[in-house]
Amino acid sequence: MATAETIRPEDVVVGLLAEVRQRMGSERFEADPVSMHTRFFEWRDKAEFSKLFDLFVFDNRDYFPYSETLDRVLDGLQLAGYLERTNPRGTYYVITPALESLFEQNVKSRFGGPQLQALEALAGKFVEGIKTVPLAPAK
Amino acid sequence: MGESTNSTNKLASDVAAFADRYLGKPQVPRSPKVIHDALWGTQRLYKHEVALVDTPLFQRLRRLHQTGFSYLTYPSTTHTRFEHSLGVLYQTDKLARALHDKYSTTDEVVSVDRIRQLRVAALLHDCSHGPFSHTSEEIYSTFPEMQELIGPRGRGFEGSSASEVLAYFILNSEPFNRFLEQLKEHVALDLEPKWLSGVILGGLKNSDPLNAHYAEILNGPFDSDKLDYIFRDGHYSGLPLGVDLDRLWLATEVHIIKPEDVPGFRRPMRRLVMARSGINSLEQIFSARMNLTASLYHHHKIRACDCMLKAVFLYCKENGVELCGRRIETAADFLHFTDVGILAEAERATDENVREMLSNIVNRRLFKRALVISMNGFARPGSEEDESDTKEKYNLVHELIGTTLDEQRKLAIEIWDAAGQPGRQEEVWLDFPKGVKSKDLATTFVNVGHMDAPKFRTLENFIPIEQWTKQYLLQKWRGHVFCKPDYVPKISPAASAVLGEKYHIKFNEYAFTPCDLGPSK
Repeated sequence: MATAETIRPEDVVVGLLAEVRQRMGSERFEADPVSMHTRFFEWRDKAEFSKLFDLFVFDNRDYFPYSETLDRVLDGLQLAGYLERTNPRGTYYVITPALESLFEQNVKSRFGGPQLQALEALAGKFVEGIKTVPLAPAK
Repeated sequence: MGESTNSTNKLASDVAAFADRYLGKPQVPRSPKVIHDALWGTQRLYKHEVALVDTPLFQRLRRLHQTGFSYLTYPSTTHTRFEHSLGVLYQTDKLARALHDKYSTTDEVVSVDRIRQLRVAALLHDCSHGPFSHTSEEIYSTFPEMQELIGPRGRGFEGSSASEVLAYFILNSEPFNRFLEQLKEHVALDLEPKWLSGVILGGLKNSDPLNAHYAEILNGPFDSDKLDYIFRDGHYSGLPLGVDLDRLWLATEVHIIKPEDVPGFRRPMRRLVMARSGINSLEQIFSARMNLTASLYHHHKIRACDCMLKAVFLYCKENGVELCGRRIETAADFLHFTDVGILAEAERATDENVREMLSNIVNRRLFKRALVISMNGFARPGSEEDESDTKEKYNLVHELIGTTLDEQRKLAIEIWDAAGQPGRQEEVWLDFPKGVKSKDLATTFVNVGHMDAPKFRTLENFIPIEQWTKQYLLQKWRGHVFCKPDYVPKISPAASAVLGEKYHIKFNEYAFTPCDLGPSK
């Protein structure tokens, strides 16, 4: 079984978003970099989650802690179609079913039991704190 | 005190030794001096600024090219960090004085005293660059003592660049403090090293949020550093680029942004904000940077030279070989090198391999492309050339960009092995340049209200930079496997096989067409 040292930032984000999708289904959530980066930064300081964020670098010199690592991963997932931002102004993210499959088939095995539990807990916190909008709002 | 603290102390102490050697006593002239620049014309330097310019620390910048090895491809790009630093002084002064004039009734916004200090910070902002600037930085930023500071959970400098850390240690060293004290005996000025380094590194934004705008003049989305290098690199490379500077200076405002104005602000912060009328200037800056990146910074010949020099540094470090009479042990060692000194080693180095590697650069016998990795150059086996395939490729390109130097070296050695170990392993390199995206989208604010009743929106609402950066990856981004010309026929198929197997892809003719696959001569 893989150890925490071999878990890449890509794996953590995919794992988290797959768990998030299980909780919020096809709802979309605000693609707000300030909120996303700040949240990851705060989680890194919590003992129960910190191992997951060992490879994330944050630059905390401006008004919010910015992680180039997280930015690169989110861009990659978006460009690969796992995370969509196709609404006209790019205001929202939609997690696609393909991301859940990616997690189940290629990524999940990298995590140990406690790490999967940590991901589930993080997903709960993530959903609590984000602004969601139904994918196809009723007129 | 733990081991990590010891290594930081050693780094600080090594940098202080460098500062001691390169500062000396200030030589203050009797009067200010006038300097002429090909780009910005004539400007006056105050006596204390001349004293700084006349130190070996600053004169050393004459021996550092501004754009590394670009002069081997764009022959007139021989401009140096010295000229650039003077140009940043000019740009800093222009923007700061425009703001001072705009808010002349409230001196606290941009004070004359602070402008004097900003000018000094502008002069010193690149004083810590190593030889061929970002090329050597790629190497020493991986050193353990540097990673402890700038890497994940780095102590005090996480997310900073390695050269910024060295600048911090220079400006906060005892010799630099002593130099400033001695300067005060000749010129009435109050320069605080902590403030100067806070402006240069940008740390001032959080440590003194109501003065964050000063840091943004030198370290922000449209800072004086960018404005000079865009014009200077464009001018000397012959790439015509334009930014409406007059409009930019006049349209820049300073506002206090409060937590209730913009989500994410933890406390009030005074920032540079662009009026709506200046958005076009910002668009021109981003566009110019993308043009420079595609044509100059990511040019394959220039990237090949960078790889050749990185090979020299790694070879010397790993084999304990001296370069310019010095072993590479810590990041601070690079401060003692210059471009001129390194290239002179092509004839002087005692190690035969170093002489050969450097002489190949000096005489432009450069690495060649053995494989070109681009969005057009490969496919997933069995996949159709459709939208989903394109998206998969994007993901792979992002993964490649995210690889570390160490991972790239391991892959290069694997390729070298698969090719039957032609020559030395340092003669095979992978290069995956970073994209062009930055955090500027979320940290640049536009005033969509009035001067006296501002409303703030981030720049991403006005300029489609997200789409630009995607298009850059799709159309222009190129990764490469480079090697010595003679080995291309062997390295090319090996690289295709190794990378193909690792990433489950199959390269097509676009990956090979630019490579010279003819028989070995």
